[in-house]
Amino acid sequence: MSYQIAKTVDAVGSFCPGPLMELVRAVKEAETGSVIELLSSDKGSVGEIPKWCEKAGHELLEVVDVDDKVKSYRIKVGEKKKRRRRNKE
Amino acid sequence: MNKVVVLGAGTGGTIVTNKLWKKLKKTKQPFELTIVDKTFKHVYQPGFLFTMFNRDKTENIMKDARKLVPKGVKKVMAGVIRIDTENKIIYLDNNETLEYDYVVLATGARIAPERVDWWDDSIHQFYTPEGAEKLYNAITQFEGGKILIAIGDLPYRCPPAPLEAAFLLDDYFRKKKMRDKVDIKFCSPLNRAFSIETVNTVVQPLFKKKDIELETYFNVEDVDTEEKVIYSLEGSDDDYDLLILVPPHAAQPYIVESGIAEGAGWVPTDKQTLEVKGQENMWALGDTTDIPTSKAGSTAHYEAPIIAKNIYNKIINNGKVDMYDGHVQCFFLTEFGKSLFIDFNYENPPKPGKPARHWWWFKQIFKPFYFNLVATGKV
Ligand SMILES: Cc1cc2nc3c(=O)[nH]c(=O)nc-3n(C[C@H](O)[C@H](O)[C@H](O)COP(=O)(O)OP(=O)(O)OC[C@H]3O[C@@H](n4cnc5c(N)ncnc54)[C@H](O)[C@@H]3O)c2cc1C
Repeated sequence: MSYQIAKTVDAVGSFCPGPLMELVRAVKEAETGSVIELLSSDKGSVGEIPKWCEKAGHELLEVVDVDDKVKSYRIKVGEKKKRRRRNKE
Repeated sequence: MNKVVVLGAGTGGTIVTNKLWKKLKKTKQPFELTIVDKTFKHVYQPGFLFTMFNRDKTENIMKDARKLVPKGVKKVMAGVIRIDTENKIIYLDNNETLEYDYVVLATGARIAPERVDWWDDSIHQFYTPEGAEKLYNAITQFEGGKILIAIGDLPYRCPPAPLEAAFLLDDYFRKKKMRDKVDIKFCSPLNRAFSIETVNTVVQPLFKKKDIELETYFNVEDVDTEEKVIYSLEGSDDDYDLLILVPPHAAQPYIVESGIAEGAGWVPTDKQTLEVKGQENMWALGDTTDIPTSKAGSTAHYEAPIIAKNIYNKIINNGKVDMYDGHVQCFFLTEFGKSLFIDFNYENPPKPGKPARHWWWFKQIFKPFYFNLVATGKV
């Protein structure tokens, strides 16, 4: 798979606010189509990161083992949802 | 002469200054230690959760920071507007400049509603003294309806605070005997109520028990304050009568102005050595860093001695580098009268136990303990 990582978020050892919060924050600031790498040693990330990506419309390209503990999650930032206000469109 | 300058006299700045004073004396070399703050009003911010219920007064959670550091420290009351990192000169808003050999950035986080285009004054927040007081008025006048609490943007100070606010609001309206007229809803940016799994297993069942509605995967995208509707990045929306949001945060503008960071200005900081990446003789602690841990006073408390030691190590040239292990401790209030206690570092997640009365009382006595022993660098 060929892509260029635009930003690496090192959330190894982060319990509070935790890797997913760090990812959400990075995605909010990122351009659509860019790829973010999240480094996490949190076991919870294995289930949580794919779930959030699906829910929020971002593509999890791959998960790479960095070592025994740390995994690298590569996320392609999806189209930001169009803002819609009730009764106003 | 070693010129050491600390920028900011909040939690991190006063503690690091006190620790540095002791360490610099040990070098037996001449030094000048300066602390700079735009107001020297040192705010004990955990107090906002009490001022928002009128259980404490704003004037009682503030102290003149100049009284918290040793006499021999030079105090400069001015705002930093830029650092010339190449020539090691700090530009101040009183048209003066300060030269440094070693500098510590401890200017915290500010609320930055201008970072979103939907914020207006009808949205409540308790992240400033004025915000907490205004919220108290709104709560006392609230006759019933739906209170919605959500996180306006990431990152923010003190991750448990919005959940604590939900728990305390529940207790407040119960005590007022009008809980049946008030719906409380908490919107979490994650798939659970609180980010740390081990803590969440204690906290999330309490939401259910206390009848606080929980919506997950809700990252705020927009608010229509006329229609009173809030929208999430994930595509959902919700109505409210009273909206309490964690406001967007940013670091201080001088950081971006000086080319130290981009965007919201969180300082790129080595999470162990606490050195600012790409800069020489510059360290950062507390809320201003980009370290992936809680923006908490406790974080700054445990970071401060590491920076004091590392500046000492550099001055005496002993080749040592001390490392921050990510230690953070905090209380997590679950009602007026009960609290959890959380303790963790980069390696070990917290084991929170159960909400207990003794932790609540610890939190009550913590304020004088903080001003007398923590901020002054004695513990
Ligand atoms: C509601 C709430 C509850 C909280 N509860 C807890 C808790 O229970 N436990 C906990 O550990 N933490 C808690 N915190 C977080 C804690 O208060 C902060 O993390 C802590 O104050 C950070 O310290 P700091 O030194 O980085 O920044 P601050 O304490 O904010 O200090 C920054 C200082 O820099 C100065 N400054 C800013 N810009 C400039 C400039 N340009 N020039 C000169 N000076 C400048 C300011 O005047 C200020 O004095 C809470 C925070 C909030 C809002």
